[in-house]
Amino acid sequence: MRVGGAAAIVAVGATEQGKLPGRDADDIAIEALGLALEEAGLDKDDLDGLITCKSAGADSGIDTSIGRKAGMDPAFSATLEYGTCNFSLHLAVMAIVSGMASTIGLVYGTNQKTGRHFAFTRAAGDEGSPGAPYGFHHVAGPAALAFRRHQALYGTTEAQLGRIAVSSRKWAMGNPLAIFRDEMTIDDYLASPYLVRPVRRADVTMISDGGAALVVTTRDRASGFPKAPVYVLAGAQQTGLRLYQNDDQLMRPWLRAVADRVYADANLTREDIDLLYIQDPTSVWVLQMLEWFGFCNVGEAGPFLETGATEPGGVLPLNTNGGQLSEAYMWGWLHLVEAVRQLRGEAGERQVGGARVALYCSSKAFEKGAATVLASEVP
Amino acid sequence: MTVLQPELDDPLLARFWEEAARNRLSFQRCRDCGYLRWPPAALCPRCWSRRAEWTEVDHGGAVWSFGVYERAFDPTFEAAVPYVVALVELDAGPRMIANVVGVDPDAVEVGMRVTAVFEPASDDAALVNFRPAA
Repeated sequence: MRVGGAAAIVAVGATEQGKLPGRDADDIAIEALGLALEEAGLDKDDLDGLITCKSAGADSGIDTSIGRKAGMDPAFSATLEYGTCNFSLHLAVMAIVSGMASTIGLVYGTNQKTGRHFAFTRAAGDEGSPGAPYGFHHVAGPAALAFRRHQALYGTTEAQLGRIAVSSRKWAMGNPLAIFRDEMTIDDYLASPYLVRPVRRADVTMISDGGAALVVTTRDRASGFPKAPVYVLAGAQQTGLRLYQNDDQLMRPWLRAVADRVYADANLTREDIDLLYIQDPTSVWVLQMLEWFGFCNVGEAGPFLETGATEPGGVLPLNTNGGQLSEAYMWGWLHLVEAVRQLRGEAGERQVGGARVALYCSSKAFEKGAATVLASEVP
Repeated sequence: MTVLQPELDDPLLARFWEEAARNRLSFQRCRDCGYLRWPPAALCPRCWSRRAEWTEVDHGGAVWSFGVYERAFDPTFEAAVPYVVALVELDAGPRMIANVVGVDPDAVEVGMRVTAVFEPASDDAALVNFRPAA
């Protein structure tokens, strides 16, 4: 999808992350939307679009419920039942470019930590082959299979995989919003117990409560807000809905198509990317996407990570918020919040100097992938 | 290995476990295109035919990859830890999640040849697991 700056993110909002006991998930979502509206200098009635995200494993997050609770009658509203915000952002851009709406609030809120409704006894992709009776539970399971396969094919080591969690933690230490900010060395990582061998606790995100929101509008309107706009240059998607009917489904080779499309539609190459965000419910997804998006050759993510390229001061700043591994779960929504803050130059001690172009890559487990290129100016 | 009762509410899936209880590894073969459906389904995902017959297939396959659960996420599995979950590519075509049993978890390898074994869960249902091929 060639966007070329026809839509822009003009405000972001994020609530406190971690444990928000006693709070309704939709209430948390509306708080986040309020923070984004405050940053935009808008009233809720200025939004003519509302895109919400269903909370994983719960019935909350539906546009009709949030609209009622927030007292809003936007011209356009919709709900996606999966997160990462990439898919939501693409829907917003399509609505804006087509004229369905002009200024849209995108929002996600969850109380899955204190609400205790997240089912760890199902693994992602379970629909492709029933796994629960075999104890194939938690996202750590498929992540372990995918990483073991990578090890067998390419000789990747656990110490190489561990560099992802360590890199994320280093970035999180500069992020006041992050839940996990204690120093973690590669030795700490290797000394920690496995969840599903060869995957450890630090390779997997922890569930948390919180909310995040964005305001997206047209290029014409984008310059009239208190904060500098962050433009959408391109978006792309590809699905793998056939699950285990596909070869090598857990390696997700179809993500390569997302990369090819998004670079072509942004008229950029990977060398133009100043900031990389990869949605990271597990570190293994990061390993895969570094390869499929061309930052190293397929099979070479292990040695690439060992160079320290993704860490603070490295040549490829990756998940400068600490990602889902260290910042907060938020189903990846905070990656976009962070990308916007970095492109505006507001990221404090973790600010990457001169950053103008960001790429955000995400996936809905083994079923679909998405990527967006954002930039502080339209080329 | 602790055995969790498989899902029997879906009649097509229940048929798979019932076949296993009779030591048969059986799938629906599409009567129109020959594709083996997994998981069981009313519709062939390849040609959309609704016609199928349950067909016993060869028990052989290979481990695509595997993980070793060092922690139980469901209390039913606490006594089973550490246990091996693998994605097995059957020679017949379907790819199944299952346990690899009868072998030290450290001896399991990607690409290892395996053969189906049937683990009774009740009088009329068994899980399909795999052990290293002789």
